[in-house]
Amino acid sequence: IIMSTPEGAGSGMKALEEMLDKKAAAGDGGEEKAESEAGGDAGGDKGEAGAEKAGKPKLTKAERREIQEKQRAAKAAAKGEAPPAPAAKKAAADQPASGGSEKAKEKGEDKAKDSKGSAGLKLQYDDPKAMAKAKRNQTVHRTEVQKKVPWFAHLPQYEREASLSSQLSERAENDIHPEVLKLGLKLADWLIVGGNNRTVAMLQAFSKVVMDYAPPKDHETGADMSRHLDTRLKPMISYLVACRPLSIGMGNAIRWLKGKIAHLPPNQSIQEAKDYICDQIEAYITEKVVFADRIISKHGASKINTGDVILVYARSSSVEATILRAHRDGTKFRVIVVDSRPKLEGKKLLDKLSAAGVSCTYIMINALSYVMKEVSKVLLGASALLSNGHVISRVGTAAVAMMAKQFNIPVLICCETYKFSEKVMLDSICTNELGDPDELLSPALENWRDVKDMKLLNLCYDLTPAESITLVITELGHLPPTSVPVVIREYRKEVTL
Amino acid sequence: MQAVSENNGSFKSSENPAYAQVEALVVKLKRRQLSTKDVAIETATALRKVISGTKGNNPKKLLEEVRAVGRKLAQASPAELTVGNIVRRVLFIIREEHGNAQQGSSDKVGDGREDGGSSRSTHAPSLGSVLEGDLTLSQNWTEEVPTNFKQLVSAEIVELVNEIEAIKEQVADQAMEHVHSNEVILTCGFSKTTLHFLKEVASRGRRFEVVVAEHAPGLAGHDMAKELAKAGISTTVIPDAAVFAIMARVNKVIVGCYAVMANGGITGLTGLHMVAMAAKHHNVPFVVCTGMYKLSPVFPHDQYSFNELKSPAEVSGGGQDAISRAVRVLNPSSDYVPPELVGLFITNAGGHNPSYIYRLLAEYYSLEDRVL
Repeated sequence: IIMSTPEGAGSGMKALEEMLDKKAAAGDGGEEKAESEAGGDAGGDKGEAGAEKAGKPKLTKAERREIQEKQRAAKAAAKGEAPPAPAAKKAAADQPASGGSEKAKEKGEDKAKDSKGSAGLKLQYDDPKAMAKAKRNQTVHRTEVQKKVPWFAHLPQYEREASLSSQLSERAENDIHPEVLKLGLKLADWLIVGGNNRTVAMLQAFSKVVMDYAPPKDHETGADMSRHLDTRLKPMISYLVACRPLSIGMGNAIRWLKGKIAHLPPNQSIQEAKDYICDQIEAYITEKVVFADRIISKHGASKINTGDVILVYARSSSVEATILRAHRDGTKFRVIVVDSRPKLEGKKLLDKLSAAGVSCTYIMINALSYVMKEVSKVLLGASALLSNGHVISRVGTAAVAMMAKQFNIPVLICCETYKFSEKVMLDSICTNELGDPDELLSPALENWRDVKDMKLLNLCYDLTPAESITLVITELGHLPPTSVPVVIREYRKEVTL
Repeated sequence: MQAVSENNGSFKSSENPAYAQVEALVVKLKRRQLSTKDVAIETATALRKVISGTKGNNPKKLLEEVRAVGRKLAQASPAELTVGNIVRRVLFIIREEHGNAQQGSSDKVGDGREDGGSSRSTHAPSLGSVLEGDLTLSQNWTEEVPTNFKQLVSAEIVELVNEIEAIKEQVADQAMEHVHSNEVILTCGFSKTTLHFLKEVASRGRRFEVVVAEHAPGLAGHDMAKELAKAGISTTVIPDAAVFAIMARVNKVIVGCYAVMANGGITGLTGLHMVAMAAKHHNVPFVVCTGMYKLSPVFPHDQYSFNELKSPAEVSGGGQDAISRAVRVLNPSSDYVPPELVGLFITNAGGHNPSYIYRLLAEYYSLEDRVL
């Protein structure tokens, strides 16, 4: 697992880190303050809730609760979910807080169900009302691009934030753990790249959050923690989403973590519960990422024979591991690394492989048809595998896979099972991530913002149709791409519990 | 692959004053300094000078001169098929003029001669003559030709140059039929013909969108986007890797090419094969805007036939980030797109299916000139 923490990451970042460390030292006091504000939402929402209340006719506590229960039951009935546990309501009743904050907390729970059911994007970015509402809750405010590309109006399109750190240093609320703040900044700057790296970094940050969790008075049992921790994590998750949209694997990991927190073994003390959760996170990372990669590289290396010419694209940690493993095993083969602008991630993979002694060729994606004739296998990584067998991966993978299939070359995808998703998608436009458009710049396009009719589009992911894929290599073995829903079903208990 | 040239030394300028110009052109070709259209025009001009400078009035000698010069030019840039095309066009013009002259003189003499070979029609062999007549229509080269033969040929070559200059407009004339309202067009890199094509549609007031693939490593697509945006066309620049992803929203792919092959395929920018395959996958028509001077009587079978590898420095970068010498870096100059993937050719001679292209060869080139 490669975690790159850059040295001298800029004075802004350093200053922020110092400030955050100071805050971490202040530590427990800060956590308590956040808890006393009650309501998992950011402080802004609470103020807003108060203002709303002032405008409406004043109802008694009981009437308000009645209305809320009706609303929640209606929503639950509409969604077909089981009505929320009465324990949650009792917790709300127990809180020694004003009615307004109680309402805010319950609203917060509803919102949690609404917008972040799977920690994914259910927020409609092309709906101005929903956006205005979400903005009030946001921990950081991202500036939208001046020129939105119309085909992607339903997705967030943000400018690269130069002032993200200063926004954070100006925040008064303390509801985001410094580790998570740092992680968000690194993610926003693409300093931590790659599905596995991001997921592991996020889980490790949350592990620290759990360790530093300080319960409010009178709520010092493990059972209480499972309720509060969820609301504690919510703003942190939305902050990470604002920094950079989560990958599907990260979403799955968060859902797993929330499941684990919600189902803590009974009768544990706070410390025991904390240790339990951290151990579980550790086990998840080891099992689902580290060991999975090892097994995948073993399976993958077994597919590489003497004299093979393997084509790889951009940079995938599991593909890298597979090739290095095969090289260590002594197989004589060579690799063609395909790369593309603007990220040029293939160069880094090339450096690693050629340093290890693998014989490499390097081309840009445009030269693909020139080399395709000599390729014997194509090895690609994935960001996620969908239920209909399609693969979400770095943009350009679809073109590589399609071309290989036309030349009748087998396409092998290396993917860990935690990246399997129940979603289905038909093209790369439904869900995608739009990166910073300025990465495409060249001297000719320097003034593109001033030119009225010009837009830049920097797609991060694309969808490879299942027909282009021959085989998926996972830690469970070799599978056809259509087996994804089977795996999800068989291992569903493991994933959500 | 450059064959060893028989003419290793340069032509003696005492033999023909035009050879200095030919030498200059050879240098430019070797340095790959010219665009396709410029290659065509400069070759035609140089050959015209060669013809004017040749002593005497013997058409056969003219043919040999042109052929020798043409071979030298073609060897200077073997992947640039336009050179060979123009040379063959000039040879065709000479043969045609000679045929005309023959016909003229035979008419003057009177009773139609039965020597069918010399009364060759001014156009290339039609299907009828091919099936019934003599395939190798031998011309009677020893016949006398009018004294202004060279001027006639020269005038024809000037017409050829004018035709090449006018291609942009003629192709753009058909633009309104092919681009309709609110369409999304994908194009790749920089093609002057395509740029003119799209600008024509925009100038007539039709609103549509263009997506430009930037085409690494040269980033010619950026210039194309700038020009399109200047013309008021809504443009989006995407990296080449995103072509497959965006193809779901594209209605047509319109590109230019370097050369059109006899089987209906094209040689074009690198990455065009990938774009054409993605278009086929999504059932998007792949349209090529080109001039007929790019039509070449050659058949490629793979990616390597008319390709060359450019300097890897464009790809491997420099300085700290440079790729180590131990790594093989490939930077091909063109891509071959097979005819199955091409949907339509829009040329100055109208719109054609790739399967029709071979038939047009007979319009412009003669059988004997297939191999220079």
